[in-house]
Amino acid sequence: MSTGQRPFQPLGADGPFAAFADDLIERELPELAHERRTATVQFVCRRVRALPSPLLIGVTLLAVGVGVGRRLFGPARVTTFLQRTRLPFVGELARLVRSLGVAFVWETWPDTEPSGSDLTDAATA
Amino acid sequence: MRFVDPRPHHDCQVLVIGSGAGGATTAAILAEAGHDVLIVEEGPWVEQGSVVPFSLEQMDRQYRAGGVTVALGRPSIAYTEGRCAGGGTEINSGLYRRPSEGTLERWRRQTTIADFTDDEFYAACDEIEIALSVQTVPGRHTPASERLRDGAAALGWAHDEIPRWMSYPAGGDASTGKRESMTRTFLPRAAAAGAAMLVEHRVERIVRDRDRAFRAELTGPEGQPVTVDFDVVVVCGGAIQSPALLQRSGWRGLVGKGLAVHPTVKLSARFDAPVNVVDDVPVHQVKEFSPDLSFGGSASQPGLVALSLSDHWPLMRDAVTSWRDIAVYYAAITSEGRGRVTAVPAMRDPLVTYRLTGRDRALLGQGLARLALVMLEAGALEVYPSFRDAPIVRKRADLADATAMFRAATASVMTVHLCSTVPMGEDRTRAATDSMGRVHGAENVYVNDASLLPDAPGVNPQASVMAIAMRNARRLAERLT
Repeated sequence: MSTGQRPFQPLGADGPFAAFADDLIERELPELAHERRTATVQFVCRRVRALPSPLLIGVTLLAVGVGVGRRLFGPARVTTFLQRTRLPFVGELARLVRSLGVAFVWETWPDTEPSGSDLTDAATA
Repeated sequence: MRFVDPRPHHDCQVLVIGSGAGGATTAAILAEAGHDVLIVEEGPWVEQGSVVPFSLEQMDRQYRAGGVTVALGRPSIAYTEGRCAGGGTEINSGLYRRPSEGTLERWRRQTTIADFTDDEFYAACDEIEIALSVQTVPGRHTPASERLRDGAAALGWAHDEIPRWMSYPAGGDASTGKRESMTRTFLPRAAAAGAAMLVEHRVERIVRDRDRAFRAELTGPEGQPVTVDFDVVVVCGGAIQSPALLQRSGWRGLVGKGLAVHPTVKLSARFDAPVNVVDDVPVHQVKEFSPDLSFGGSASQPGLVALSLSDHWPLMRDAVTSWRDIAVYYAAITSEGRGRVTAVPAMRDPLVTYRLTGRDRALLGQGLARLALVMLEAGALEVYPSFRDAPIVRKRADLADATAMFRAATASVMTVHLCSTVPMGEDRTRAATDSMGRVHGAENVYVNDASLLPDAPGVNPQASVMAIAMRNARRLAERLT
């Protein structure tokens, strides 16, 4: 019997991984325009969903843990923990998001300031 | 190319799985010898020039998993694999170097390769170099390449230009080269001799009756099942996919156990003038510490510059707006470590692991420090090593701090040279195939790609891969006639 609810997708656009990626990119590129951040998170999620299966399983498990952690401790504390932790594998999650995110931002919009603002906009203003 | 229309079943005499440096060479040699050849390629056919080299779009279209593939370990090693017609030759730097006689002798002894002579090997190299227009840049080099050369020269360190398989128009320079990859050379040759090609079909399994294989089970682009019946199959999927396919098909033993790579660490360097060329890589390499260490240049798209700064983003991010003045370089080592490729039941992709030795870790640190010194001598204003919490290097005195802080476990280690997962030779305790690439324990299953190399050659491996593929394909053609 259908409950009418969508199945839980840890790596989906509404899942905990995307929420974490959005938080992290907002922190590290605070002036990145909302629509650019959305496009960046979509890119990161798309790449992560294409990971080879053993890695995909690992990242999915981490994403489930992130979802639980966000409910228990709050999104900000979980993002801070993941941003700073040096734990093997867990520490790679923020590195993965950050590296894919900055690669996408500067390839797509090369004139972006380190804060995420658009250099050309800044020059115009 | 002669593409085959998708249908549920195909028959051929020789099925070649994969169309990269090994597969395209194998297909051309066998088709030219009069055999009925079908090439199956998992990825699409992408015309040269239709995507910007080293861009994210290229990674989406021509790399496996969008370029995000990792050998797990401490540290994990990121690697890339081509997944398109032409395989890695469509996406790599196009640098070409013959292995030394010493390397060939080491290979011969390591796994007891029979009938493997320098003369035959280098004669194959001669042929390949003509077919691929292997040459040095006729005019000016890119600024990033010149900086690397100048830095090495200032230190009095050995360096040279690595030839590439590129063609240039009269009066051309580094910016006008055309890559002579497999889609422009050996695949058209195979097609002209009658070979056919099926793209966007993944081989899931080779079906066997005891030691004899007779069918491949494929998945088509719409997920539909497809079968191919053959007399002989040659697996050329590269050092990760070839062992994975053999394992899925029931051949294990030494298959997948000896993964060898050239691990690299990177840095980026900012100069006082533009050096960045977004769609090309430097052709000079520093060989002062070869074969243990060699230094060269990497792709430097602005996104890749940002990526190289991301290991210590809070400290280094301000440099990103100067990406036009920045180029990315690497230090590569010959590794004593080894890895493993393991097909896991019910998983589409294999598990890949790699373990660096203590000597490898130390060498990566030395390499990064020496490469930073080359950059300072070349006039770099700032050097940004790629490891977690790395400092910015502005003068020689900073190198000591950077070296002390380096830990391989926190570095962004990557590789593009993967080999040795199905090594060839007569010694069954060390080799997974015989001296011609036939899988031990199989009558008609061959491997003919980078998997066969007994270990990493210490130089760009395409010459080795193609020369061995040419040798083995000729032997196979004789055997089939």
